Amino acid sequence: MKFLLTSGLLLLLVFFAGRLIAQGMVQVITKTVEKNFSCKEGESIQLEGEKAGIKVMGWEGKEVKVKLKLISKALTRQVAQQELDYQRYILEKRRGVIHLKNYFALPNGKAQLNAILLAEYEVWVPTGASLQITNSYGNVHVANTSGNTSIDSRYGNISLENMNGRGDYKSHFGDFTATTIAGQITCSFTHTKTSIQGITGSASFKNTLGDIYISGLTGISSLTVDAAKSDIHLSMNQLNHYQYQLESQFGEVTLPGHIKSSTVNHSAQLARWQYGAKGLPLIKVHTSFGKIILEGK
Amino acid sequence: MKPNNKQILDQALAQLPQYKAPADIWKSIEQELDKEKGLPHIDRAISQYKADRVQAHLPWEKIEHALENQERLNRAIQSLPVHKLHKDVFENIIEKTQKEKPVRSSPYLYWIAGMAASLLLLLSFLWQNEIPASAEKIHITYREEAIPPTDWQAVYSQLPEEDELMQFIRENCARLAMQCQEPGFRGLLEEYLELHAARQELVNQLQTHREQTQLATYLVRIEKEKTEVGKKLIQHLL
Repeated sequence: MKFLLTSGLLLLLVFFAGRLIAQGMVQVITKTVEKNFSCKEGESIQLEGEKAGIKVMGWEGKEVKVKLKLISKALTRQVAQQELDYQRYILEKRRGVIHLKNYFALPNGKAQLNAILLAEYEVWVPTGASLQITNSYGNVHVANTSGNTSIDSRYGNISLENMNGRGDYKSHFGDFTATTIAGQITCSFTHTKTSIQGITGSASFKNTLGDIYISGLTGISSLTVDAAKSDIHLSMNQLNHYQYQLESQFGEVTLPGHIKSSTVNHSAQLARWQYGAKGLPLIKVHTSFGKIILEGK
Repeated sequence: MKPNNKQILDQALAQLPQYKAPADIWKSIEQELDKEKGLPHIDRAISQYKADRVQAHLPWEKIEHALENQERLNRAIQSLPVHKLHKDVFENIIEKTQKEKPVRSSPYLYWIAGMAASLLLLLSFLWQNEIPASAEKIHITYREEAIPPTDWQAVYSQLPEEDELMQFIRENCARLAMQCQEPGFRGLLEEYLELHAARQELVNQLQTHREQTQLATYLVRIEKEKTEVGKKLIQHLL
């Protein structure tokens, strides 16, 4: 018994030691830059990220607080330190616009980096401030703001929470997730899977090769989806409060169980369904090579 | 003059045409002459004019006396002792003149001062707008981290470089042109090419930057989508 226990422990030790050796340790250098800006009404924040994780939170203060972390990970501290300097940044205010930017400046002839370089933004903004964010190869998260917001993201996810005001969103190859958003929303997506729970106001989506899931459509005044090669899922709390124009080219329209499927009109490779009294808020969806699935009571 | 030449001259003169002056010309000449006679005051002045000989009385004695004095003065100056002035003398003179020098104000100075003041005011206004609420605070931390070993080369090197599907499409579309013209097929092909371009972009990024977890995820996603579209393309051609 003792022998079994001892050998078992030894085996475990060898296993974990082996894993540690196999994993390897890297040196991580983090340069944190903190800066505050005054932000008057009407002033805006412009954030240009590159390979950056971005978090923007609205708060009651009248300042913009920025914490930017530039991270370098390499096998040796020397390499990590050297390549950390390839990461540059701009944090400044000019003519009422707060500019935040990070970028890479590789020396001539250097094609490949030996370190892993990352950037992380944590930005606190007044709730009514206007935001303009562009980013590539990183995720963007924005919460609790009510000013005009514009986000343009490539190869990264966008997540929004408790947003109000005018929103203009572009995404290429990412996921778009939003919870409780209101206002005038315009989305232009490609290869982007979209999930929205709780939307109020008017919304317009253009999407190619990305399925869309929308639920919690209380208080929507109009919804327009113009998609291609995408499936659209709509989950309605009160079906009869809206009018619908749904059509799918080279695809299908699926209705809730209590509505007869025979009401879907099929003609010339087009499946079309229209329902609801005129004057009600309009939900208009068009897709091709995809399905439109309507759920609700 | 030789007698022959005189004869020739007389002959030539005799041959010259004769012109008679008009009758009234003599009258006008007479009138002119009378006019001159009729300038009595000038006549009187001329008749009264006496060319008096002006005799200039030059003070030669005085000039000679002056020149003698000058010579004496020059001799006296040359015989004077030569003294070297101390520099303090000049400094005192300069200081004195500077003290006495009146301050002259130029109108241009006022203009320049005014412009400089305005510029300063403008700069201070602009500067105020650019001053951030706080200065940057920078701190650097060091730590170690364990990361699983990942052979990034293996991640994308296993993906096929040669696109066999494209080769298949090229071969078959040459034979099955009608099918390849259908909107459905063309839409799928466009999608496939787009995915191919996106894949290439990500591979290039992987070669430069190595914090690759997310990039690898997207690469896999693209490959999956590309595979699905590729399968649909093949079905169209079969």
